[in-house]
Amino acid sequence: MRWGMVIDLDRCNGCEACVVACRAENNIPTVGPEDCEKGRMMSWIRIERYFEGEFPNVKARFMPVLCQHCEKAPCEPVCPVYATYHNHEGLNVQVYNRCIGTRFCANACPYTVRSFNWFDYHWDAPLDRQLNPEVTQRSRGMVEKCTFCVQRIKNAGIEAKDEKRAVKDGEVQPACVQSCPAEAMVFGDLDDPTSRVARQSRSGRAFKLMDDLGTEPKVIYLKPVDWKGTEE
Amino acid sequence: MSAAAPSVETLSSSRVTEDLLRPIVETTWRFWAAISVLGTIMAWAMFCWGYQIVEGLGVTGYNRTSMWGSYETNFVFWVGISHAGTLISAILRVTGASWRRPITRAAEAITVFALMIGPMFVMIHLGRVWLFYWVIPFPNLRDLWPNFRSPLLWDFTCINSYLLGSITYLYLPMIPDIAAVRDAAGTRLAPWRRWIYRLLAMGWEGTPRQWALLERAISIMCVIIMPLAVSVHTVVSWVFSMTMNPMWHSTIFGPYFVVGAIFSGIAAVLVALFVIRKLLNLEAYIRPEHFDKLGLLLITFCLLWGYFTFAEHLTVWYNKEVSETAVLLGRLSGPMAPLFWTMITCCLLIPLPLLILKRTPFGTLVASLSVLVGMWLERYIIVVGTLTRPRMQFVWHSYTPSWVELSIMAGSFAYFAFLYLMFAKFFPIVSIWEFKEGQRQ
Amino acid sequence: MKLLAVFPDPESARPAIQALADVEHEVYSAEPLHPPHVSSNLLGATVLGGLLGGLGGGVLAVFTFKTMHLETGGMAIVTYPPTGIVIFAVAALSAIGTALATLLWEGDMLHFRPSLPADIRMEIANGAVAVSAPEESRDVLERAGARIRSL
Repeated sequence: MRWGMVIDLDRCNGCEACVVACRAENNIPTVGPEDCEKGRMMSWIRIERYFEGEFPNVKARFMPVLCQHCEKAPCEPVCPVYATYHNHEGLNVQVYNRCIGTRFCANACPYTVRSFNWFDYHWDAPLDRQLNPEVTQRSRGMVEKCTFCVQRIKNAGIEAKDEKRAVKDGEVQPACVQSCPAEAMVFGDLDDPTSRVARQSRSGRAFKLMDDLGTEPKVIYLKPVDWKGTEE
Repeated sequence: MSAAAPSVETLSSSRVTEDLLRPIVETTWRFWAAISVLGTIMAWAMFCWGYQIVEGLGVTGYNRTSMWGSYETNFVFWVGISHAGTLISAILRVTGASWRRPITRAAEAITVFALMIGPMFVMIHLGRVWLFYWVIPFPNLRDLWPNFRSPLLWDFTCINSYLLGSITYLYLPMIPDIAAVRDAAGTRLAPWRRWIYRLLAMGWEGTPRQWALLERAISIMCVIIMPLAVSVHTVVSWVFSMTMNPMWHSTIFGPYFVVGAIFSGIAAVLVALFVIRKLLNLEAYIRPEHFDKLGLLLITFCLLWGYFTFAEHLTVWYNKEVSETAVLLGRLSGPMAPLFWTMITCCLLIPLPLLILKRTPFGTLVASLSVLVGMWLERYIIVVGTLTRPRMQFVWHSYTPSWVELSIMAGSFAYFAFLYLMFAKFFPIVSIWEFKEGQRQ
Repeated sequence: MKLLAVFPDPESARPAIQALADVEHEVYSAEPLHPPHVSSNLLGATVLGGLLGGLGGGVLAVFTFKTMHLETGGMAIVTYPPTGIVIFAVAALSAIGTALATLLWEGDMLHFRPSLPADIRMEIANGAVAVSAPEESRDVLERAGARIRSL
């Protein structure tokens, strides 16, 4: 069982609903405008926007970048206290209460997907009532990153075990996948050849981000198709 | 002042002992003034560190792109300085260079104290420093263990060994001198100081058997400490080169950092020698020939460092690989350019003309100070230059050290000066028995 | 009855020490006076300490990991290079510690009571050399120009 994701860049319109949903689900704090100026934004998923071409033939390209949960993750061997490792379901796991904050993993990641808690962040009332009780609130000094909503994966696994069955394809949806209005993101088990994610990953448009680095990421992107047809 | 220094041969044995013990026995107002200034800077730095622990690392200038910055630069810088003692003490001892005799202890002291300050920065840069002991492999009931695949753990192991080894290597040749302080100056010192010397001198009598054993132990230590020193800075460099970041992932980093370390180490020794020569009136012992010969070593390592730097940049420039070229251009003409060209000036363009023809004490001092500034900048450019230009262009961001970082850095220099000052106050900074042995030869 | 002879410098002490070569005597000086070749276990002990330390390092880096059952998702947890580095560092530290301990033990330095009186030790620190010898050597030492004290 290897959890993976397919993101169809043809469908992504850069609305950032996934970013907001991830914040809400995972108790990600808002760092404030000053810290954002310093470059300390704390989103576990970000929409990278690139412009292509000159006016009036400009195209905006959007690419959601999140933790790729690499099979050969460069962030895993470098943690001195073994706070980040690969579990048997293929997830790159971050153990918050083991992290002592050396930030070596964040430097080793070529995708720059890891964030750090620079301060103890607080939610002013009544926003503190909106926190998700299933996700740890991180203290200052810890590294954090996308977990493929491991709390949802675990919940689905527990339910399936109770009902004595396997987890169904599409039963687990991380917050970003669930909230995408264009349904650009698909999540599932890459090892199951009949799952949607496995079928889409075999598409001719499929590519991986910087896969020449040898990290074997498990987030597969589908190239956007540019319509070059005529007016007729 | 040095014109009136007596020649080595005319110094009698009791005169040598008296001269070299004088800083220990006599304390002038300048000592107390220095302690006050250094103490103030250190206290301010401790306050800043406390503030950082309570508030979080957000008080620094670090951000998501530059997760490392001035603290890691300082760490590498201080560990680099620590290679001074090993080169001068061990290598010059093994090759039998007699001119090393008055300067070995000053160099070994730099090694020990620099190695104490470098790892302090590892603790300062931790997000949750109160849990730093988790990198120590201690038995526990929670199935927790540190990760020896991590270069930071290699750092921990090697620096630990090198620090304890250096302390031993500083202590061994000091035993006869501690006995000399106990015997010759004991009555002129306060009882608590006499107690320290009696404790540290142990049962040293000065019998031929003890001398033979001591000299053999020192020779063995020389041979062990040299590969240990090379391994330490290699392992520190591997913290960077084991990642796949552009211009970090370079096979040259091991030798490059070792050469850079010895380079900055020699510069640090020269600065320290100049200062103690002036302040402690040791012109007869630390002579212009020491500055001349160390200056020659400084030129050698300057050229070697320049060669490695050139090779590193040439191979990146020629290849035009996108991520690495971005970092290179950031250094040569981008945001890092002022610092980069200052580094080249300080490490190559200022020292070489000053040292190539004639090496005077003052000229060597200026060259060494310039080298120290340049080598600090080199570490900063390596750490920050790559981190501010990651592979994913969207997250490029600049980094500036904050007042907290600068205060703590100033505090580290003050702490080093303080430790060195206290060392020179308690122990003879020039090795008495080695100097006398050299006179006899 | 032991005598303590004090010479003003190593040069004047040298002929007297040579004359006492077959008598049991002890020399005290503040600098090495061409010390004799002593047989000691320093080198052997250091090598042994290094080997044991290397073994300890190997146990630390390999054995402890294998018994910990840590998850890696396929990546090796015990590999040669980190193991080699840890073995090297711990071996070097162990060798250094053993050398220090052997020196202190063999040099009979594990006590804090110097055997000579304080004024003699002050003279030695200023360049004198003291020789302790049995009573029979008194005239040899006096002829060499020493100041004699009875211990």
